[in-house]
Amino acid sequence: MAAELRTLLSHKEYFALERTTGQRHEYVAGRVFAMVGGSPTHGLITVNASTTLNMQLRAKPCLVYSSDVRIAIQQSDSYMYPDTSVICGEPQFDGRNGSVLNPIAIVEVLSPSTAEYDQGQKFMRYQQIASLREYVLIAQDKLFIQCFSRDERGLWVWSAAEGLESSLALPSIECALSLADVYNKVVFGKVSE
Amino acid sequence: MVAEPRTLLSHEEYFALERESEEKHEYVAGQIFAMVGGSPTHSEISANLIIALGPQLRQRGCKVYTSDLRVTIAHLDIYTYPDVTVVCGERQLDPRGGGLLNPTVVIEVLSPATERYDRGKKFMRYQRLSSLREYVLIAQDYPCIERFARLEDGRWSWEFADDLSASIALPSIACSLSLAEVYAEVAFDEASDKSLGQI
Repeated sequence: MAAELRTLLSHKEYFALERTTGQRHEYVAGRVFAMVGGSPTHGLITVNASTTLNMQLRAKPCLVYSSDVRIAIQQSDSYMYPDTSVICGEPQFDGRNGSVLNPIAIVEVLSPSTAEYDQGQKFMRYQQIASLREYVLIAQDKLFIQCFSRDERGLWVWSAAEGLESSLALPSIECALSLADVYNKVVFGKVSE
Repeated sequence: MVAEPRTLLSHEEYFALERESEEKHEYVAGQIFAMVGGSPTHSEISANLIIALGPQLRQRGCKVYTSDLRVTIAHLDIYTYPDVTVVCGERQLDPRGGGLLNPTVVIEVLSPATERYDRGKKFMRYQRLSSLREYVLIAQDYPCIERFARLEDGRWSWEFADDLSASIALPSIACSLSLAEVYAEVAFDEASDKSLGQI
C-alpha cells in the first residue's frame, strides 16, 4: 500500500501553485485541496443567486463576487473560494495576495460531493470571520435554501425556505432570496429522498 | 416505460412490518424507508451519549432513550427513530402505535449517508414537534457537536463545540455534554477527511 504523502505547503508555495496550475485550491493550514468544477445546475443556480443579490444591492455600497474571489480566514489560516460572496463597505485585502478578508455574506450551492463539508467543517471555518453575518446554503436537487444569520448578540440563527413561492430573508444586507429567482430555469432530475 | 409501483402503507401495515421485521423503518405519510445500521463508531458515540446523559437526568423526571424508541411527528404523519431522545415531564404516547409524541431533545449521530437529511429536511420535520427544544448533531469522524435551540420567537439558534476539552450545554434538560465523554475511546478514521480531494 502506498502511503499518502502529506507535505504541508507554505503560503508562498500555495500562491505559486495557484498561479502556475491555473486551477483553484483551498488551503487549510498548509494542506491544499483541489476544487472540482460544478454541474451545469450548480452553475445556473450560482448565477441566479448572484444576479438577484446584485440587483438588490445595486444602489448600496456592497459588492457581489463570484467564486473567482478568494477569501482569507486568518483565524484558521485558510483560503477558500465561496460560490458567491458579498462585501459591504470597503473590501479589505490580505496584503500579499489580494484575498478578501471581510465578507458579510457567503453563499454555497451544495453539490453531492461537498454538501456535508459545506454544511459542517466549512461553516466552522467561515464563522470565524468576524465580518460574516449570513451563510447561505442552496440545495441543487430540490427547492431548499438554508441560512445561518448572526444577530446583534453574536448568536447564529438558522432559517430555511422551501417551495417556489417562498423566500429567505438576509437581514444584514437587507436582501431576500426568492426561490423562484434562485431556481429560475432549473430542471430537477429524479427526485431523491 | 415501466412505472414504478408505489404502494402506500397504512399505519396498521407499518406497525405489523415493524413487529415482524429485523430492521427498523421510518414511515413518512405511507412511504417507508429502511433505517440502516450504523458503523461501530456511530454506535460507540450513541452509547457514550446515553452514558453521559443518564446520570445527569436521573431523579429529575427526565428519561433518555436509545434508537429503539419510535417518535411520532403527528402533523406530518411520520414515525422515526432518533439516535437518542430525551423527554422531560409527562411522556405522551401516540395511542395508535406507541410512538413518543413529545421529545424535549433529539440527538442524531451523523453518518455520511444521512447527514444531508439530518441537517435539512429531517431537522425541518422535527421542528414540527412543538415540545422539541433542542436538536443536537454529533459528528463521527472528528470531534464536533452542533446544537440547535428553539428561541422564544420560534426561530432556531445554532452553536457548536469542536474542542475535546470543551462541553456544550443543553439548557432545556439542564445537562451538559462534554466532548471528552461523548468521544471517549472513539478512534477517528484518519483517512476519512471530509474536505475536497487533497492533492
